[in-house]
Amino acid sequence: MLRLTGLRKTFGALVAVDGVDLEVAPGETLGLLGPNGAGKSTTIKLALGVLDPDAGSVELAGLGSPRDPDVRRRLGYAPQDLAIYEELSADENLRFFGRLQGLHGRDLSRAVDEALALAGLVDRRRDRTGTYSGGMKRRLNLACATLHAPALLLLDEPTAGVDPQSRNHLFESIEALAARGTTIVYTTHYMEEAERLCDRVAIVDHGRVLACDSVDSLLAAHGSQPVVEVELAELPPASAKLPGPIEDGRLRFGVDEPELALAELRAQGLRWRSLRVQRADLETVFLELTGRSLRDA
Amino acid sequence: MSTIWTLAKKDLLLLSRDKLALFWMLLFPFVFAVFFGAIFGGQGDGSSNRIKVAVVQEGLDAGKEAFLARLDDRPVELVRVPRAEAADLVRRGKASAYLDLVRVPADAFAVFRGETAEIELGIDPSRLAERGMLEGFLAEASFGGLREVFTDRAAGIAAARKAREDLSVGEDVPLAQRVVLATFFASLETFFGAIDFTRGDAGGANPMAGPAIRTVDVTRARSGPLNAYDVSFPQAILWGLLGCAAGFAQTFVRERSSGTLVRLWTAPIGRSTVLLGKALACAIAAAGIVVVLLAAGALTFGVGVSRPATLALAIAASAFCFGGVSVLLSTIGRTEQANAGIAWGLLCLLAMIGGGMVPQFVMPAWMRQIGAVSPVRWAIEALEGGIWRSYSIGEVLVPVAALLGFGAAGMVAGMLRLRRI
Repeated sequence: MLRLTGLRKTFGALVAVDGVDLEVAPGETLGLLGPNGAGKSTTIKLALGVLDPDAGSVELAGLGSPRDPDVRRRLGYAPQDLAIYEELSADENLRFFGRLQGLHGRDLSRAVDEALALAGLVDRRRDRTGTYSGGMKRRLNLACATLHAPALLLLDEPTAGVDPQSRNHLFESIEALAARGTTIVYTTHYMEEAERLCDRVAIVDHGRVLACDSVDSLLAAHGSQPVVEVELAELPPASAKLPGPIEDGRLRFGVDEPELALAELRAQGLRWRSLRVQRADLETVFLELTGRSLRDA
Repeated sequence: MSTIWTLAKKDLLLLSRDKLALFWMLLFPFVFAVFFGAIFGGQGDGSSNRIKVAVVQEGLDAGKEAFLARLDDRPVELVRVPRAEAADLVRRGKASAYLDLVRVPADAFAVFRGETAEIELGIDPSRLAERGMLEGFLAEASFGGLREVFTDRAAGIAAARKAREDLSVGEDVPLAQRVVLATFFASLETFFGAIDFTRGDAGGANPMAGPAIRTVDVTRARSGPLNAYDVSFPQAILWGLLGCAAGFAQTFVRERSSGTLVRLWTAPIGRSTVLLGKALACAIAAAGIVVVLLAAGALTFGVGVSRPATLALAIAASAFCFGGVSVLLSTIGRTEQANAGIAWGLLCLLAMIGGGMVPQFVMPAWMRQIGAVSPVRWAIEALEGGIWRSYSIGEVLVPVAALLGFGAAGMVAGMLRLRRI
């Protein structure tokens, strides 16, 4: 559906995107995971044709460059900034953007109704959006991007600064769109979002794609062993073979198969009050790939 | 075209909800027009058509008050003030002149006894016309008593009798003169009683009241504005148009900063279409501003339309021009603050040299020539052409062509700059 080949973009001395190669299959949800300033938004704008690349190419569904209006008609975009008119109502915003996408008459009315339902804003459709909460504005921002049922939807940090309730609503909306077969490119710096929503995740840092695969494959390739931490109820028998040291009554060790290791310890007579298994996640993958924590980057 | 209209409609809807923008586009120009119209038109308390004269109040008796009363029906406004203030008022320009009635004879026939009025008139030597007028009014008032007795028989009889009685007791008139005057007043009393001289031929007007002056209104052929508002409203309308151009330019920058512009860029429309939508909205708003302000001017101050077709052409050309100017201004400055500063700086300069602040007719010739580079100058001329200059369509074509040129240049320059954004 979308192919980015050798994309490069600089702003003066800053290299924002440095040779990005990505391919998104139809119906797939691809996440771009990276810290702020990693080049995710610039990559999206290059994909949309809003920015011209210094090098490389963008091709959409074999149709050509997104600078072509006919190609652009198949794109939907929800920018990181709230790209809505606060002096207009949700209904007026949607009708305006719908008309720009070529919708008219009943098609437009139907699309507006569906978008409002998706955003959960049917009851507030006539109110000026300046009176909306941040979460409601985010939902409308997404609705404006999906109004014309685009084949490819590019979402740039669509949950930035929203409350948990609105975030869940947005997740459900995006999952519903994915279920309909919409191809989605989703940028975020929250690993939980990438893990929940994306079929594949591209780890992006300093304008480069460091790895791109399914979450499980990324964990397998770049994640460390799960870590088991056991709070002991009593001192272990002297004969017990322990997989790690005991500190402050806690046994801590890394292992590939935590369930098997725990069964073996129990067989050796160890008793514990509580245990915790810490599995690798995308944070661990990012740390492994960059040497930095995703949150601290 | 429907996409351009969709974009324009959205901007007009946003404008209709922006109270501050509406203030600058409609209310401020109206206040401007009223303010400058009142200044140049001398409107206000209505006293400006009368000559204000300070009268020294010390020593005013019944005779002097009667003298002053004869000035009531003249275009003179009398203000009684202490002697110490009278000359000072004239010096400070608060009064045109001052009067000190040093001596005013008590009765109409005093002149036959050798008594004359003595009046001090203080006035700036440069005010020759007012001085002449006031001297005329004062001379008329001095002889007003005589005129009264010769236009009213009963008053004449009473006055002649009283003059004769006063003469008989008076000590200051020489005996020989007193005898002559006594005979004269007695004859006069007899004359007043015997002959009705107050009727003209065939019962016409009193011949003693002076010449019968018949005033005929002859209005001069119109070659200028009917009133000051005819001048101030086109000027004010231009401020509305400048506010409109600057306002729409800012909406473009606001779209950039708020993120909606990126969404517009990703829609299946050309970038120039976005700017053309703004230009169309600006042109429609500009035409609306002209119509609303002219209607307000017509309803409140009688601003007229001498050539409707010319005015319609002028409005259309002005709207196109400032729509084009707004396109160019849209591409200046990356922030709203920067855009507003630069845009208003440029527009104020254009207004200054184009007659938007001070009418061009009060400018020196060289400055009027410089004004030709400002669309403000041509828009004012075109609008005035329809309001009071009575331009034919042929005569308004030059300013209209200039406006269309400025508009097209602004649009092209704006589109070229847009490529670099």
